[in-house]
Parts: sequence; C-alpha cells; structure tokens
Amino acid sequence: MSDLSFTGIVKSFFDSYSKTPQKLKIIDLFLIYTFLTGVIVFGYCCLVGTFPFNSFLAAFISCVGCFVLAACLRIQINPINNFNKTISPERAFTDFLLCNLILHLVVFNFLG
Amino acid sequence: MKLLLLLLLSILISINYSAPTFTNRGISSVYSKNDINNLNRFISTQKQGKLYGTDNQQLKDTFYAVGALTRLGESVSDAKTICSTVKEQLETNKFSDIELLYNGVTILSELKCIEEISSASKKIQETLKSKLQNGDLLETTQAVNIVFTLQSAKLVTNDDFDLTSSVKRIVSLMVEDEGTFKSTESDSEGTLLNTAAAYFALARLSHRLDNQEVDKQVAKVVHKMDTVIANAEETTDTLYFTDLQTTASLFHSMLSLASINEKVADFVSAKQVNQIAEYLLKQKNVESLSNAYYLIVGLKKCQKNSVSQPLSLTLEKSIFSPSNLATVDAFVTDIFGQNIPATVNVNKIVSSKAPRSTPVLSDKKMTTTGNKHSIDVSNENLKLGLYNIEFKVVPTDNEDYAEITSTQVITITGSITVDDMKFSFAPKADQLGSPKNSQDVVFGKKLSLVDIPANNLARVFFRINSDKQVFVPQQVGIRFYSPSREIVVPVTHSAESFSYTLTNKEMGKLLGYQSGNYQMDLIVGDQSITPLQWNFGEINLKFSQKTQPTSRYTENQPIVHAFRQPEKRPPQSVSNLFTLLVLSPAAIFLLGIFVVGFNLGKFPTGMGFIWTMGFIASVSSIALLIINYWIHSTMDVTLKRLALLLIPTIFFGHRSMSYYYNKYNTEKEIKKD
Amino acid sequence: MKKSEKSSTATVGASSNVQVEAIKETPNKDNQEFLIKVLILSVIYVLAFSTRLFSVLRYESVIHEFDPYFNYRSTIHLVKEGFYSFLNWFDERSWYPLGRIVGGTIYPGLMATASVVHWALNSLNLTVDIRNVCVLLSPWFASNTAMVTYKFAKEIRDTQTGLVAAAMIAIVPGYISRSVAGSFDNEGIAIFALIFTYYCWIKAVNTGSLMWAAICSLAYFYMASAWGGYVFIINLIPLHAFFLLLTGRYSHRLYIAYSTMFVMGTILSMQINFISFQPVQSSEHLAAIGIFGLLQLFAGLQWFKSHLTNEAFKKLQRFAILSVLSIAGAILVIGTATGYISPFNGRFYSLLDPTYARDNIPIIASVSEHQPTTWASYFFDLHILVFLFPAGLYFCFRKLTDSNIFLILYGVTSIYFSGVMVRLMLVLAPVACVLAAVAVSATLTTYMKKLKAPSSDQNNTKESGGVMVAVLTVLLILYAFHCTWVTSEAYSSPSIVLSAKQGDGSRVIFDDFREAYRWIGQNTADDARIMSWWDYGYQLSAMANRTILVDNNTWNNSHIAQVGKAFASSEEDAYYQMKALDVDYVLVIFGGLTGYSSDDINKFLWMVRIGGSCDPTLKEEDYLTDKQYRIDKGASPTMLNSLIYKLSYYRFSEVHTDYQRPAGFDRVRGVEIGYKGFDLTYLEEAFTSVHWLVRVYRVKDFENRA
Repeated sequence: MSDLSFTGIVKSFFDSYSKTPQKLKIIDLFLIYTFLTGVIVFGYCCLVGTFPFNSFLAAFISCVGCFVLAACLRIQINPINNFNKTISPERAFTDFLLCNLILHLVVFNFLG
Repeated sequence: MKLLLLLLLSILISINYSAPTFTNRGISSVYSKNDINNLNRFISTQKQGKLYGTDNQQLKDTFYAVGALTRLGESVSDAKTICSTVKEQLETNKFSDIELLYNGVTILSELKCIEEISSASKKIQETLKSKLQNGDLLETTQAVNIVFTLQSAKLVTNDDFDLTSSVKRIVSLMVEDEGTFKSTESDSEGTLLNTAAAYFALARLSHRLDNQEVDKQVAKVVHKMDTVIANAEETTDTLYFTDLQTTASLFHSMLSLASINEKVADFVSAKQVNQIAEYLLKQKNVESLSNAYYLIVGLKKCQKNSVSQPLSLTLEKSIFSPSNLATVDAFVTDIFGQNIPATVNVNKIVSSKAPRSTPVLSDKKMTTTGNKHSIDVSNENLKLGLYNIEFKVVPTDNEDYAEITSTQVITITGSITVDDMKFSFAPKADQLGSPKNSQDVVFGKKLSLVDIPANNLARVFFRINSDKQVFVPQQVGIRFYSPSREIVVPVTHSAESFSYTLTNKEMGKLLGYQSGNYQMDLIVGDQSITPLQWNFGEINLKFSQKTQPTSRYTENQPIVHAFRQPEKRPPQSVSNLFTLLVLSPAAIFLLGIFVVGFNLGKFPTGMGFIWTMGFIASVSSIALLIINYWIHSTMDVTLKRLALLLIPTIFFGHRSMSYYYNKYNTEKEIKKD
Repeated sequence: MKKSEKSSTATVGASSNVQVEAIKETPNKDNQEFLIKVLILSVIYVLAFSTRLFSVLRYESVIHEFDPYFNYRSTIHLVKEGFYSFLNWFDERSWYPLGRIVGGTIYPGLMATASVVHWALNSLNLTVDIRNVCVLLSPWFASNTAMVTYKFAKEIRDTQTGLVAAAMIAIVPGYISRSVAGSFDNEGIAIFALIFTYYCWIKAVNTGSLMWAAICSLAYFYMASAWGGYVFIINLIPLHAFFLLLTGRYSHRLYIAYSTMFVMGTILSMQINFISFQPVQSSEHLAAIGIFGLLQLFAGLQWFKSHLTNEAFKKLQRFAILSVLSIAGAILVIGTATGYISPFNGRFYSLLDPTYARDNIPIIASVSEHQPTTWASYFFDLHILVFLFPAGLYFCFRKLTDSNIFLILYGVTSIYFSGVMVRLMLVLAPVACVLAAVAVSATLTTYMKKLKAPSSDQNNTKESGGVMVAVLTVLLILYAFHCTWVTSEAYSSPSIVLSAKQGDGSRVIFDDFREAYRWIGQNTADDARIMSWWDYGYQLSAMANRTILVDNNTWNNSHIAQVGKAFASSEEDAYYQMKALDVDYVLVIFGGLTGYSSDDINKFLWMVRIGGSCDPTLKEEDYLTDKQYRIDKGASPTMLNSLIYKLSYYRFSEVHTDYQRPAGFDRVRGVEIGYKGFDLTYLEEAFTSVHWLVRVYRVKDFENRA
C-alpha cells in the first residue's frame, strides 16, 4: 500500500508535513536555523580547536538551548498535543521568553 | 665549728681581695721636647697677621696662644706688635667688655707690657666694680683675676674693691647639694666649667686676702669638693671631666685651691693626679689653640703641685738580640721629661709568656751613673722571647714625688733553625719510625715529589732550635696546598720535638677528597722571631672517595620561571570566515520565512497594537541590556537594570498576551456559532 | 530540660494534629481545612527551628566543629570585601607556603546565602552580628526544608502526606545532625536546595511547564553552588527520565521538563568556579548527557512517526537507533582514551565500591564520616522511619505514577549511598520521611475511613481500625521522644567546647580549644606559621588568625603527607623537616589527662599512613608491636621517639591522673606511658591549656654557628 523505498518515505513525509499550520512551520524553520548554527559551531570546535572553551560551550549550549526551548514551545502550542487545557499558547510563549532570558543571561556571562 | 671557721676565713680572704692595694705605676709617657716643638709649630701656623686665630675671636685665640707659649717658657714672636694691637682693641671697646678685658689684660701681663694701659685704669676700675657687684659668675671671676693681675702690676690696689663680698657672692652661687656653681642665682644647675672658674678665683682671693671670713667661705666650698670629683669619668688608666678644657681647668683650679687648703689633698689623691696626667698626655695632639692652652695649663699643674707630681720611667732601648745583650738602661723623669734624681731597683725579670713562673732575676739594685740607671743582664742567659721587667723607683725628693712601680717589656729576638727534619710514610703507624721509610730534609732545601700510596700514613718530624737551644714558638703549622685546595694544620709539640701525622681519612675530610699533588710549607711564627715559611716538599695524595665541591654551599641553579603556554589560537582569517559561516543559517532562516510565507495581516490594531509594540520594545531593550552586559558591565549592575526593565515588560506582556487570548477565544466562539 | 519537654509535646501535638487532619476529609470545609493546614505548618516551622537550638542554650552561640569555621571565616571575608574580591580570594595564610585559591575551590552558596541574609537584616535595621547569622542559618533553612518537603510530598501524593512528611523531617535526627545551630555547613542549606529541586522537577514533569523547568534549573544552580552533592541530582533525574522511558511513560511533559532543566542546569552549574567544565567533561555527568540525547532522539522519532506510516517508521527507527548507539559508544571510548573525559575520581569510586577508598586513598578513608554506616546508626538516625520506609515503598508501587516512580528511585538510590558513607545518611533522611509519611497517611486514611464508617458494618473492622490508629499514634509519639532525645544528647555538642559529667553529677566545661587559639592569636607573631594535623587547620586560621600548613580542605595530599611525616619522625629529623617548612609553632591535641579520645595520638596511625603514601620509607609496622598500636612500655622504639609521642607526653610523667594509678597514666588508652622523663632538644613548650587538651610548642631557632 505505502511506498517503503527511501524516496517514497521522504515523499510521504513531506506530503504529511505540508499540512502543519504556518505558525509551526516558522518554528520549525527556527529549529533548523539553530540546529545548523550548532552544527557549524561544533564543526569549528572539532576542526580548529576549543581554545576559549567557555566561549565555545556558551555558543554551543546557546544553540542547543534555543533549539530545545523552541522545540518545547512547538510541542506546547501544537494543537495535536492537547496542552491547551493546562497551558495556553500565550502562556507557553511567555515561558519561552522567560527561559530564553535566563539562558542568555548565563550564556553571555559564560561567553567571557 | 670547723665550718664556721672556714666561712670566716673565706670572708677574710674575700675582703683581702676586694681591697687591692694601689701601687703607683707612674705615667706611661711624657710630654717630651719633641711634643713642645710640635706644639710650637702648631701655634705659629695659627698666627694670622698681627694676632692669632680668626677675626671673630682674635683676642681670645691670642690669649690661648700666648698663655700656652709663656707657660712653656717659649718666646712669643712679635710680642710688641701684639701688645699694641691688643691695646688698640681694648680702647675701641672702651674697656667695657669684661671678657675682652680679661683676655687683653692677661695677654699684656704675660707679655710684660701691662703698663701700656695704665692710663685707662679708671675706666677699667669702673667696669670691674660693676661686674664684681652684679656680674654673673664668670664675669665676677674674670673681674677678680683682672684685679689681681693689675694689682701685681701696681695699677690698682686691693682697697679699691670690696673683694670679701665678692667671695660671698661667688660662694652663694654654689649649688648646695652638688658643690658645682651656677652662673646666676636664677639658674637651677651648676656646671663644671663654672666650678673651675670659681675655685680658681677663690684660691687666689683666699691667698691674697688672707682673712678668717674668706677662709670660712672657702672651707664651705672645699667641703663639697668630693661630690664635684664624683662627676669624673674613670677608666683603668685615666680620669677626666667631660672634655680636655673642663678637665684641665678644673684640675688646675682644684690644685690651686689645694695649695691654700690642706684638706683638698684628702679629696684629690696621688692616683687621681696620675690618672689625669695620663688623660692629658693622651690628648697631646691638639687641634685648636684653646685645647693647646688648656693642655699646657693642665700639664704644668701636674709638673708642679702640692698633692703629687707624676713620675715616668722610660727604657733607653727595649729590643735586644741575644748576642749584644748586656745592660738594660732606664731614666726617671717627670711629666715634661726632666730627669729626677732617684734610686731604681729591679724587682724582677720574668718571661711574659708565663708571668707567674719563677723570675729570671729578682730584687737587684740598679747602678746609677748621672741620670742613667743600668742593670747588667748578660749573665742571666735570656732566651728568645719577651720579658717583663718590674722597676721600683724611689725618688730622692720624696716630698713632691711618690714612689712608683713600673713594668716595662723587653724583647729578645733572633733567628731559628729547623733541625732533624724527617718525612716518612708507611702503611702502619708503628712502621713510621723505621729509617728505611723516612727521608731526611735539610733545612732550606726542598724534598722531591713523594708519592704516598692510598691508605698510608705519613709523618713530618722536626725540632726547632735557636742558637743551638730548643725554642718553642707560639705557632707551628704545615700548609698543604694545590691550585684548588689549601689547608693549614697545627703541628703538635712533645718532648722538645714537633711532629704531624697525616692519615688518609683526616686529610680526605680536610681537602674534600681531592686527589693530586700538594705542596707542603712549614710555617713558624712567634712574636720574638722573624717568621719562617719554608716550602719543604711536595706530596701526591690519593683518595678513593668522591671529590667534594670547594664551596661550602651547594650551587643553586638559576631560577627558571615556567609560564603557562598560551593556548593555540586559530588565525584571524579562519575566525572571520567562521563568523560568516555562523551567520549564514540566519539567511536561510530569513529566506525560509519568505518561502513559508508570513501573515502580518493578523497584526493587531488599536490597543492591542500599542501593547504588542510596547512588549516588543521592552523585550528588545532586555536583549540590548544583555549585549551591553557582555561588552562592558557587571552582573551586579545588569541585574538591577533588568529588574527595572522587567516591570514594563511584564506589564506589556500581560496586556498583549491577554489581548491575544481574548481575541483567539472570541474567534473560536464566532467559529462555533 | 524544660525545653526538651516543651518541644516534644509540640511534636506530639503536631503529629496528633495530622491525625485530626486525616479525619476531617470533608470536601465542603475548605476554609477550615486551610486554616488548620496553615496552623500546622507554622507550628512545624517554629518547631524545626527551635529543636535545633539546644547547643545555643547549653553552651553559647558558637560555630561548631571544623569545616564551619572555614565557612565562617570565608563569610566574614565575603561580607567585608565584597563578592568579586571573594571570588578572587587567594588565601596566603593557609597551606603555607603554597597558599590556596579559595574563590576557585569552594562552593560559595553557603557564604553568599549567609551574607545576603545578613545584608537583608541590616537593611531592615536589624543589626544582627554575622556570627549569629551563621549560627542560626542552618536551623532556619531546616524550617524552610520542612515547608518544601510539604510541597514535595503534596505534589507526589496529597496534602495529608505533605503535612506528615513536613512534621517528620522537622525533627528527623539524620538531618538534625547536620543542621543544629552553629553547624554552619554546606549540607545545612544543601538539603533545602535538594528537596526544592526535586519538588520543582516533579512539578515540571507533572505540568510540562517551561517555567517550572526553568525554576528547577535555578534550584539546581543553587544546589550546585552550595554542595558537591549536586551530582546526586544530575544523576537521579536522568535515571528517573530513563525509567519513565523504559516503562513506556514517555510524554511531551517529560521531554519539556528534562530538556530544559538539563540544558539550563548544565550551563548554570558551570558558572560556579569550582565546578567549571566538569558537567561536560567528567564521567559523573555522562549519564545526564546520554539521557538528553536519548530523549531528543525519542522525541524526534515520535515526530517523524506522526508524519509517517507505521511500516516506514519502523524501518527508519531501526536505522536511527543503531547509528546513534554506535556514535555514542565511539565518542565515549575515544573521549576516555584521550583523557578528555576525566575518569571517575576517588570519592565517586568510594561511593560505588565501599572498599575502594580504604584500599587506595588513606586521606579519604581517614575521615570518620566517610566510613560505611552501621545498622545501629540507621535506627539511631531514622528510628521508626526504618520500618515505615518499606511500607511507603509498597504504597508507591501500588499506584505507580511518574512522581511515585521518582520517589521510589530516590529512596532506593539514597539508601544504597547512605550504606556506603555515614555522611550520606543526610540524603536518605528526607526521602525516608516522605516515604514514611506516605505509609502513615495511607494507613491512617484507610483505617480512619473504617472508624468513621457506619457501625452497621462488621464491628471487627472498626476495632482493627482503632488498634491500627492507636499503634501508629504510639509509634509517632515514640518517634517524637526519640528525636528530641537524640538531638539533645548526641547532636548538640559544638565539639569546640567540650563538657563532661563529674562523679557528683555536675558538669565540667573544657574550653581548652578556644583558650589555646586565643593564646596563639595574642602571643605569637602575626606571621607565625603553625603546624598541626589538618583537622585543626580551619579552626586555627579562623580563631587564631595564623598561617597554617594544612587544613580540612585536603586538596594537596603530599603536603599533608609531609606534615604527617614530620609528626612521625624523631625529634631531630622532624626539626629539620619543620625548619624546611618554616614552622614556628607546633600544636598537638592531647586527651590523656581528660580522657578526650579523638586526640592526635589516636589519629596518629593515619598520619603514618598518609605520610607513608608519599614516602615509602615511613612504614606503619615500625610503629606497631605485634600488629598492635601501643604507647606503654611494650611500644616500638620508633613510636616512643616520634615527635607526636614526645609532644603529647612531654612532662606527662609528672602528673598523677588517677589515685590508684602510677604517674603518667593515660586515661584514653588506659595505660601507663612507656617513655618518661625525657627532655626536648629542638622544641620548647610554649603553652599548655588548662586540661592539657591543646599543647603548643615553639620550634627553636638554629643554633648560632659560633
């Protein structure tokens, strides 16, 4: 019934994905952005060296943190996950901002 | 009972010991002709123009110079010029300054031209009278002295002045407890210099006036003399008050007082005169005219006084060689080197190495020819060394001079020889003595290199003679040396011979286990011989142990500071490239947003717009704050500002979020409917 | 004594109130219930504080023990010099001649807390001395811990459980031992931080809220700034997450809670200088990183799954899991091999394997609180909780929820760790309370229902209900009495001031330590260097303000070994060693006259062992005779000539300690000393306190060469 070849899987995935709301797509875009940045930072550290180790960690953890927080936000505002009863999207967004504030305060402290 | 006796005995002995009898040892040197010539030369160098000394105190320095020279009986050059100049000076001053007057009058009187101021005697009298009545102590005493000087020149008479009241005035200035004199009534403490001036004036007054009242006053002063003397500082040989000037003037005036009051002799003893004389002689190289004056005043008083006049015994010669040793000659003189007739006895002659041993000679009278006293010691067989000779001098005039016991040192010196020197080495100590292990060393020659096998003993043996007689020098040592090491070992003396046994172990320790060739020097030293250093041989020593470094301290390596290596940094270009690379996903993000599409149509209007904009503004200002913190700020300041910023942020956030919530819910409800 | 009665009745009151509370489970009396709740909690708050004040009332407001003195000194420095200077503090008065970078080698949380409290009180014009703040900080935090425990237990189960747990933790001896007034130590505030972190964690897992996860990471940061035990949290929380994954309880809430908490917690904990990069380098934190990765993977797969058909997903899943596992394994192997990931350090090994430290690191084994726990001390510290603990576990297992699983894991792991080290009893105590509270409240609820049920039911059950309630009440009363007794008898002595009961019942106070430290502070040069065994280092530097060689921060094993070697050497050898270390005075603790058993002679074998760990020529056998440690005539010559022996027993032979005994009878060891009437050549006695507890000797200068 379904196509089990790799291209088939990919095709069906994109078909399914295109139905997600635009809001979530933007968050996904952000996720990709932070993910790529994280990969580049990590690649730099592997290739060039970790000399200011704290700066590297700050940058990398900032990427990971943003990614994770955005992912959490995405989960919370995704209507499929039924978070609406306990946490409204607005509340989720506020929490997201709060966490980012704390995270980046520390990241910049650690950046040196 | 026995114990008590013992105790008593010990107390007696201790008393005996605690009160040693004073023996007058005489003075150790004299103020010879030579010294007088030196002083003369010094004074003449001080002469500047007509007078002595510098401009400011010309007259005073002239007073000192003239005083010293006349007391020594030396002639004063240009006496006439000095006289007229002094007279001029006094006239310019109108005879009103008492110190100037005193100096001037004394100079004139000493130069025998006092008559030159006879015309001014009226003026002088006025000055003197006023000073005698209300001058301070020094002025009064100076006035008194001037009075007597003028009186002897018949310029004034006693009756012109009320000298008896002056005596009372002077005595009233004495500090009751201490016996010293103060300058004025209002002063609280007296000085020794004042005391000297007062004593001298009182001595003269008492001598001239010769009345009961004055004597009573003077007795009062004499009564306190012992407390004044107690101010003296004393060493074993000397006694002095503060400095040369104080010592000489106080001594002089005290002895002047002594000549009119016998009681003074109870306070000033012969020993003290001797000690003061010794002190004055130590100061004989003077550097100022005033010191020269006071030195001569003091010395003259030593030579002639009523208490005691110090004597000196000097040897004609004190170093002898054994061959020409015949007589020891001595002279007895007073402090100025004038011969004094006396009989001299030699108490004993004893080796100075062992002063308590049996004397070589004892109690022998010296033969006197003229001023020279001699004793023949040629038969006493004196060896090399130093000898103490104790003389007892009994002056013929035992009124003025006291008996003295003087100890002098003579040195007998000569050459020595080292005889019977043997150098031997063997594996064991008892084999060292055998002739086949030893080599003779002739005095003055050098032995060829001797190789001493490891762990062998070696010995150096010798005798030291002087004129065929055994001589034991103070120091005998052997010096072993190579370019890098050097030690000197003392040689032991026993049974008229010297020997040194060197063992491998001990030498190793001393030389730091440095194997190799060592030169050997014999070093002989003594006060009475010319020292000997004789390079008598060379040896080779071998040590099995590790050589020790020469220095006592271990050598420290220079300190190297280890700094942390700087971390490897990537080149600038790589970092820049990376920065671009990191920013690139942002571009993807922006592009992606365009691809996905955004919907600003839902952007709120009305109040919602304001709330949202406010919220966005405060959130971005927080972002700016964080960046500001990163660039230049502290966490402390940042947190405070953050707290401030959070207030509008929360407000706008709450407003805008509730706006969205309501809008969303109403939309939902509309949809439902 | 009056005090103890009062507090014990208060405890009984509290526990009986709990029972009353359990009875009143009618839903329509919300306000009344709230009032009672607040009342009970405030009683607990006061009780937890006041029961810890025995030592202040008996002795005075002093800092206890050893480590608190360092904390006290650091706090003073912090208050005086400010926070930045405190972080950069290089202490040249300890570890002479090395010095110590204090700012980078401590957990600053305690000092920061104390100084903030001090600052806050002073801003309110309550001028409280910094010493009193330090003394009373621990009791106050214990009260706060009780409140947090209430919230924690309430979150896990219900309000009743929370109240019982709070009442229990307020007086549990295992916790009191570390939080009496004067015990100004990291643990005092760390337990609060620990429970608070766990509470936030449970809250975050239960709600899936980002905010609670963020608060949890902040609490974790506070914990990390206060105590090395933060490692326990960063391992237990991943364990919990892992178990939830295994049991198929993965939820988005878990993902949100864990991911947020981990990322923020990690970077926050790295802000503490002492921890620095450990969270990403040491193996202790590896589990957390692994679980984080696993959760990301799991969440990612879930997301893909939602967009794919089942068959396609399965194929993808297999591929993903295999590749991720192999990559993780490779990283671990390479990291450990290249030394980038630091190996487990000694203290951690000794946690997992109790015999590790004793065999390998004498300095760790020498500390009494690092010894394994005995059964007696479990009962002593936990009393009825020991029996209620398994019951609580049973109730948790009966109704598994996310938070119950956490409680079970917490209970099981902490009981294991407390078995390894006495010190970790502290970690067990709170969870034991919570579990016991679960048991008590569950039982009471069950049987109270039966009691209140209409009597038309079988009479039998009603009676059994009554019996059960009575038994539990008795148990709780016993617990209250036990706790009060233990607190007053065992845990309230400051150890800086000692007391003993005399034959006639009166108390003697031995204030020798403070006397001696005061003497040193007044009579020695300001820069005098004082050698003592490391136990007394903190006290010396805080109270006498003198330079010391080693202290309780045992960071440099070889330096301590040098001091140990000096004490173990003969007087002459020790003299040159001490001169090389520039020592001016030597301080020894001697209990032979008073019978104070933890003196230097009893610690001496540790000195030899620690010294021997760096210098193999120092052998323990030389100091023993027939493998026995003796100081009487049969002792080995090495022992009798050692510096510590001479300094302890110098002129002791002139003293009669007991009537029937010969002179020089040591009351601690119970023997007559073996070497009497000796003289000291290189040292001279400078000071000996009244009861001979502290003896100070001056090291003489080198003789002049002439």
